[in-house]
Amino acid sequence: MATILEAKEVYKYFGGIKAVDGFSMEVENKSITGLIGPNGAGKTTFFNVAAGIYQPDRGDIFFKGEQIGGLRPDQICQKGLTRTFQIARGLGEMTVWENVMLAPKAQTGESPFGAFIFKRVKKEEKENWEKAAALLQEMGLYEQRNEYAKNLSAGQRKMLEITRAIMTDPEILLLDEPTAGATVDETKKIMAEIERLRDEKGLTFLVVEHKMEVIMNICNPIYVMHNGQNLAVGDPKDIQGNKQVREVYLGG
Amino acid sequence: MEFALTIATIVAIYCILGLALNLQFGYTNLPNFGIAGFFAVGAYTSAILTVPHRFLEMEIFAGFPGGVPGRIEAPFIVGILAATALAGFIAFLIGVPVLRLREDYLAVASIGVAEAIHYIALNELWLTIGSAGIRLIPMPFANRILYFLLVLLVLAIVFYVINRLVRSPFGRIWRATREDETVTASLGKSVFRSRMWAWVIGCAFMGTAGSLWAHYAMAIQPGEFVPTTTFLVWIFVIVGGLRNNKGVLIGALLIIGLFEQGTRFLPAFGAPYVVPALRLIIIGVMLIIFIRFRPQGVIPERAMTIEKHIKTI
Repeated sequence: MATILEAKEVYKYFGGIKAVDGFSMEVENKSITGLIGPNGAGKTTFFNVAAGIYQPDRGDIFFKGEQIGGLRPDQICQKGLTRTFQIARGLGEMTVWENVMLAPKAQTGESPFGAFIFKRVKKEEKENWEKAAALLQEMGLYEQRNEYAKNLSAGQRKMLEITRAIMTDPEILLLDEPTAGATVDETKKIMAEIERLRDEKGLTFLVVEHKMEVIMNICNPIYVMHNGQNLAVGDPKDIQGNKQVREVYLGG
Repeated sequence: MEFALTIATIVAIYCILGLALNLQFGYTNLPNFGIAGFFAVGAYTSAILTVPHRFLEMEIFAGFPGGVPGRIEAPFIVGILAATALAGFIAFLIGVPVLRLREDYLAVASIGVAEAIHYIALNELWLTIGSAGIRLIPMPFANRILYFLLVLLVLAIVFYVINRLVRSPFGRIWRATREDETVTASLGKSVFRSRMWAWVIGCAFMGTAGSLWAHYAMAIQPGEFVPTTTFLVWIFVIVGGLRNNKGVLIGALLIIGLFEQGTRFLPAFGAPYVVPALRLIIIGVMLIIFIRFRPQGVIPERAMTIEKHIKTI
């Protein structure tokens, strides 16, 4: 299998805080790769660097062999890497359908002049909505399509965020705690969706998660991060059996 | 009748300013406190381009060395288009450095820009004649009723264009930018580009309004383009309903029509400055009441269902 995302010795310091301190990883195409580590290990900062929200101080990030470190978030998304956020950042004052219809790339109506090419805009809106409606149905959000995003439950907002990210038609999705705040049922559903999207659409996932049942069930391989550095990597069994990991993370 | 026509024309011109501000602040969260400046750019551009040679002769007769106004004598349509374009272009130049900053910096910068424009109008005599202002600006059709209909037509066009943009996929990016820039960027949309367009389009329409004002008043002077104009627009947009274009129209009718202009009927009492001051006080109190009890304005933002959207887009 080919590597789709590769980080090589990435550094990101904030003053004296070494948030990411020479971290490296490789994400295989069509894998669901896990990234775990105690709070403050630098997982979210690493996501932010990979998605272009922060510039790396040093180190390379390759997406499909192309250097993306230092590009803007919108440019990185256009290339096929989309991320979600730890605290679901729904666009609250917009409806669910507006949230998901925002995401598709290269819409004709996305420029002030394109907005007046009536026929094409209408046609594209219809097509995009067909796609979005199908996804929303799978995610169980279709009934809420005309609700404001701020009125959804925490778990529903997570689902909305994933749906929206998928609407950007990415090749790899970086999910920052996709089940945080979700109920047990919602968590199961989100896990099932991630696996289904990998199997059916060939998507690749990089998942930061604290819930062990999520990580151990769907992720392989798993990277463990500690103090901004690599601590371990392996399949779920290796990680559970790894003494160092248990000390810093799994609670001895 | 004459008076009602005056109010209606002024309200319609203010409506354009309000719609432009709503586009910038309501939909994209760009606080523009320099409305008066872009209004002035439009008014002066149109006036300088269209004022007849007769005005220059009068000025020279009065001892003025002469300058640009009165030498071009362009038709109204050139004036209003140039006013729109120049206001937009100046907005673009300002936007390049300023739109990358946070909103609060933009608010401060826009006040500064408006003051700079005010002082240019006051001091660059060759271009603007200075404090005496420009007179004899031609009114198209030379007929108030026909001119009012023209203003209404322009207002309808502006209303349509802004509404269409807000509803389009482009407008979704504006509103997403307003909600959360980081998320918007992470979904592959250029936040800077989206804000720049909202800024330029809004300021350009403020220039359009300025042109309409100059040809209506037929005389303009720097003293008109002061922060009070800016704040009046802010007030009626907030009262009418930020993020709702129909609300903006109602706000303009209410505040500008009833209070700013309608209270000219108030019987004069006390010292000569009491009534005009009272007018501003009434508007101020109204703003406070709205912010306290109905912050969403007369008509709040309304969500559209996807079914209706697909049918009508």
